[in-house]
Amino acid sequence: MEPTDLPLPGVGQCTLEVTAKPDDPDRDIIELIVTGDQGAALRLLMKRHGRGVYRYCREALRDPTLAEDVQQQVFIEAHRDLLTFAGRSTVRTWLFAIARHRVLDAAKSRRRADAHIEDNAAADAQDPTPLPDDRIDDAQVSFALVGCVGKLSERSRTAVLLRYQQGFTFEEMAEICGERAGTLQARVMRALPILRACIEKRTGGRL
Amino acid sequence: MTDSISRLEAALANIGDVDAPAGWEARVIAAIDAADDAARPAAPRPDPPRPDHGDAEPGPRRLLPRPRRLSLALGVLGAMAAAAMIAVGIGGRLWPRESRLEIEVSWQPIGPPVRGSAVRTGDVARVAATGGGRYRALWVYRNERELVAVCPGGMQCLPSPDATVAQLTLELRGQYTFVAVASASPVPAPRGPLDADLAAGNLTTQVVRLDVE
Repeated sequence: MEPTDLPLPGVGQCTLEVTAKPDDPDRDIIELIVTGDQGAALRLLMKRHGRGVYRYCREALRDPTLAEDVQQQVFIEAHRDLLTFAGRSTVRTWLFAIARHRVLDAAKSRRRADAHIEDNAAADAQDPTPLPDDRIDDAQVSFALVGCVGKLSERSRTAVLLRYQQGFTFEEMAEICGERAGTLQARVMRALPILRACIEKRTGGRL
Repeated sequence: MTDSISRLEAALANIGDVDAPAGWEARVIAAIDAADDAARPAAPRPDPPRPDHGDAEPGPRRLLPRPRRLSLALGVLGAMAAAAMIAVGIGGRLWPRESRLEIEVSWQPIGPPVRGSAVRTGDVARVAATGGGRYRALWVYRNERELVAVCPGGMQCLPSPDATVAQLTLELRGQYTFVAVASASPVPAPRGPLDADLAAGNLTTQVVRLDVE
């Protein structure tokens, strides 16, 4: 998509240099920007990704009210910055990079002194208490998982949520987090057994 | 091992599988419109305002001006109250007389019992509110400032036909305050701290406090 000059309502005459990757599923959003319909682009962006961004913010922050505020900030910022979207990543990846930054800002502001289970991971894993034969049911897993994910470090929680809740590849996660894909993969792989041990410890069952 | 990790991965894919609160899109659009409105008179006429794509400061935390939302909410609530009063006058009570608001808190110790400490970090608390007015909610605070759970609507809420129930892990040390709230009108959304939330409406409350060590 070539850069183009278009008048935008409320912005005045400006040069747009928005482009999208050819294989980006959200290419139509960028095309709306290019044609000057920034409002329609925002509405489409919210419709497609609002729920995902909210879910991510909610689990990353563990605070539904704060997550709603952050979700709104993400889309306000996206609305502003779509005018300069350069197509170096997909729109969704770019959007979650914004979300990640805003979540980190919000978490920093909250200044929550959090305890990380990773510090005690070995103790959790070596719990000598024999586990019952009964496997934990799905509802118990889901319930315990929320608390266990919340106790991961900020970086591990982000990586786990982006990978599994949002389904990003490690390469996409590298673009979002500004880290190497291998580093993120290792972080996720380290987090999984910690989560399993945490769930089993909390429920007293076997995953 | 592989099977358990697969279960874990599947559970992670569904974690927090909830919709964003209703009306959030409208609030985003309203906030953008409000920011545009605020920017227009301040901008000198000869040069039209341009968006700042550089190191712009993040916007204010409240994205929709409070007064507009409040006045709208009060208007709607006023209309609903008037309609309810008329209906009650014509046809009797709209809903059965409510029983007294009650709250019950229990907790499940996770680790081995330790002498001298009743509740420890990591224990799982379960709180249930029953009775009360037409609208009922549960709020949980840590040290009366940090809002850690809200029901209904929060991720710690459990379904129950006749009670409002929350279950949460007491993750940090401090005093946890469990508040059952009831009201004849919709309960305003809490934001913390506790004092401010309790002052926000004409609410009936029951409070239980737990010290977590």
